[in-house]
Amino acid sequence: MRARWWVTGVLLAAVLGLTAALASGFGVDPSTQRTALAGSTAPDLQGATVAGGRADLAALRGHVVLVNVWAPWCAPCRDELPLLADAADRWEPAGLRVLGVATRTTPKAARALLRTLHAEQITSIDDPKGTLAVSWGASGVPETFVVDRDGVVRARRVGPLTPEWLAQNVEPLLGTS
Amino acid sequence: MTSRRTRTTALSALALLVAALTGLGLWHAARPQPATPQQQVRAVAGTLRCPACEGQSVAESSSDMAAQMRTVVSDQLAAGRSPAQVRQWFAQRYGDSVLLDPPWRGPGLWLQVLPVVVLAAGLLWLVAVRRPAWRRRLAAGGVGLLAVAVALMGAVALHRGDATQPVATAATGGMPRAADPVQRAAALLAQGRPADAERVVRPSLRTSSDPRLLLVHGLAQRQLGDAAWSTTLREFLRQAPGDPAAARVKGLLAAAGH
Repeated sequence: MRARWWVTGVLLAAVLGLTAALASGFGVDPSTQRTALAGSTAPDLQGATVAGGRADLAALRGHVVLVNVWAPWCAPCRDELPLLADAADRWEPAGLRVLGVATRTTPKAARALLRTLHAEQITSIDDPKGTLAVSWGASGVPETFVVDRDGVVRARRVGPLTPEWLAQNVEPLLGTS
Repeated sequence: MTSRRTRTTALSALALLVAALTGLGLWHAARPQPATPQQQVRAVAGTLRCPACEGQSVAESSSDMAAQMRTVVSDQLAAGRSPAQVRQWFAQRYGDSVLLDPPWRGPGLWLQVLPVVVLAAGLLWLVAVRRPAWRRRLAAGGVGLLAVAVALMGAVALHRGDATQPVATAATGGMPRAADPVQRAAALLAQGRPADAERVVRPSLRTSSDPRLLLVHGLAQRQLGDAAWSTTLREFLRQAPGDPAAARVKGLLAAAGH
């Protein structure tokens, strides 16, 4: 009788353990997936911009930075860029900077879209092969990372930004909420 | 008699275990080592999970995301990093889930350890039975435990994805397992199911620069009454002016006064 309980216990533990392990990834909102970079110093991000200049994330230390990976061929990015441009304007006095990564495109196409959407204030680094996007752990576009004033990655947004998400993840770092 | 039978069973189980481990070691040692830089890139990419694909490795996937990651693997190997360092670099950015052979920690640890524990319990069960009156029932319990262990190992292999890949790829003649989302969405549009077409095409809009995605996305938006349809189709025309569908799209835009 004692042996039978032992068998039941092992089987139950096996099933529960397997269920817990397999279920650990379910129920997570895919748009707010935690980045493996959270809490770490932001990866290097520098290079030629689509406007012909140069940009370096390290030079923005002391500011809260939204690193936005985007592309002109990406429909959700076109929906998102006006909101991003608005945030850049509105929170610039509070210390927000927006640094784009124009991925798998040409500077000409990127400039054209920024001009069309009146979002030319978004400085964007040219990333023709998409390797900068990979260095940030992006799995597509658009994807946005929040870097705090100390240069530490604090949050990640998969898919288009929303005003609510910005209010929740950016305003506290700016001290405006 | 019982004792001798028990010893025989134990020795048989031990011999089977040794044979299995030896076979595994020989198979591992006999695997071909990558020689050319391309083979090295493919070997490392084959150990990484494509984060934008359905259970495919970075080596196998034809997606743009996988191509980007292969470029990074190639650049890093060319810069003198070891395969282990490259894998570690990806794990730091994408988490351990990017590794098809994840390290032993977190939920993955349970998935690795549990089948071994159950397997060991089953073997012990079979060899430790001494009471004749219980033997048949207990032996059945031991076999049951072994069956659970085998099932767990199968589940772990499926969860890790590495066991399914060669089968899935072979079954589709080397082509990616998932059908082209553009074709799937176009078929749904033809069936008058724009909402379903939109659901199919939307994830790919984040990962692929194929302008045909904009075409089906815009047509779905139009059928759904989304005012953004004309913007999407104009972007399609800008990106693919020579596409066979361009003339029809221009006609739609002109008819709507755009």
